[in-house]
Amino acid sequence: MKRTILFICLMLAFVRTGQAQSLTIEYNIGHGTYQMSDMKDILKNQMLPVTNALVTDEFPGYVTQDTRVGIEWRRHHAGALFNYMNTAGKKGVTDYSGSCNYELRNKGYKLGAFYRFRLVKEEISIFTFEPYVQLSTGVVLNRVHESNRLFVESDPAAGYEEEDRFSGKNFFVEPAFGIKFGLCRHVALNVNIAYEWDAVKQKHSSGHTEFPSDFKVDWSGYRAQAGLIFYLNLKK
Amino acid sequence: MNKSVVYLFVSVLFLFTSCEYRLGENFVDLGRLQVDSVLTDVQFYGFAYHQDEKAYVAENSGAASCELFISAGFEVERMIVRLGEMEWESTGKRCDFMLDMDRIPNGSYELSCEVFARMNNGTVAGQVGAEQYVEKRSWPLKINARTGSDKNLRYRMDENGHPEIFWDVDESLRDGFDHFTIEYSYDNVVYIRRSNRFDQRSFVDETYAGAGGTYEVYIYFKDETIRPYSLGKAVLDVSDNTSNPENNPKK
Repeated sequence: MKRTILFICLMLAFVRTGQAQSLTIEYNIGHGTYQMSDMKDILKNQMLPVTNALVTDEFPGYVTQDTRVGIEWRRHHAGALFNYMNTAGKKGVTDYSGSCNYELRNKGYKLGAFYRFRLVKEEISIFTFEPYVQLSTGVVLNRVHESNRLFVESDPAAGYEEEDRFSGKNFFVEPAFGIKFGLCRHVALNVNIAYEWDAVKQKHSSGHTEFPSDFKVDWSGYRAQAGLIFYLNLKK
Repeated sequence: MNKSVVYLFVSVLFLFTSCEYRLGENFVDLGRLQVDSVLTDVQFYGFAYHQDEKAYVAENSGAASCELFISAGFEVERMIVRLGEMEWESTGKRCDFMLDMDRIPNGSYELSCEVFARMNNGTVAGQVGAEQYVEKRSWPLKINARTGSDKNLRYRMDENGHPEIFWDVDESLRDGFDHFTIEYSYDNVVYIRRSNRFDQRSFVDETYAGAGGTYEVYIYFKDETIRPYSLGKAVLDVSDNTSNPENNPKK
């Protein structure tokens, strides 16, 4: 977090020195895949009091959302990012008499910085075509919600509901390749593909007796995103 | 531009909160049995159902049992048989119990059978032992126990070869008296005659065919909780055509 604040301060100082050409605000929506090998093992090995429980969700890829604020000057573009990812795993069974389910819901909040280098800028009519390479890095704040529920419709008192929450941090590096399509002076369409590598993963510990003593949340995986970049020109 | 930025952030916030992964469901369609009753029939052994009294009637101590006949697809977890305040429990379809007439006063009771069943098709509730199909049936039960006696009754054979049985009753029983029964048993068959006259002290069996047998006289009371008892019995041999030597009435 301190590094992010420091980065923002540096950016603001950069703006004041007069080097920056434009301030950018960016929103991208996309899809990400996730490794989650420890979590998959936990889900698979979870013991339930019913024999016909199945794994229905094994931390599949899902929607990612990404916002970035940056400064662009000449071929360079750098700034801060905030990204949200979520996925979940579930093992259980439901029938008319009730349900027995074990769920793990993971949320990842990415805070970091990015640097983007424009490879070339082609102008086609009023539009621009700008391929770039990008490197993002920062921390992923993990939030894991575990729930273990048994519900019996005819006798709710026979059921139970156990919940637990875990949190931790990962350090990630994410190289990317993308293209910006400039639509006008103030707006550009952005698409990119990336691979997130969670280089450092913090162990999550639990006091739960049936839960493994420690596990890691691994958000590593491919990313594909598309969105809009809004430019605020700083120089006239 | 400022407005646009606000709209952008509001939209992003909305998307952040709404885009949560939706979990799937492993729904198993087991098909619920549509039956009105878990029980198809209940049978009691050790005492009988009397159609005229529309009740079960138990007269003697002894072993009894209750057997359940259940609808297909159900499995009995346990059953409870209740008689008044007494209770017997079993984990099967049959529950054996003892009826001890010395511990049950005569009278009318509720006899009930409660069954706790589950379907044996592996539902969640069934697997965790929380499936409950409870059904209870009840019937009236009369305890009509009688106290026996070893006392010999006097008797004699009249000129037509018919036995005349004599008995004595304490005068103090007149007010509570309801009726006598004179029961002739021969070769596992019982013939019962009834008399409502308290002053009657003898009985001539004009249907007697000289085959021997046992005559036993019981006294019954208006208050059903007072147990009827035997006033004694007279045992006739096949060859007997006079009187019992011990209790021959003096002429």
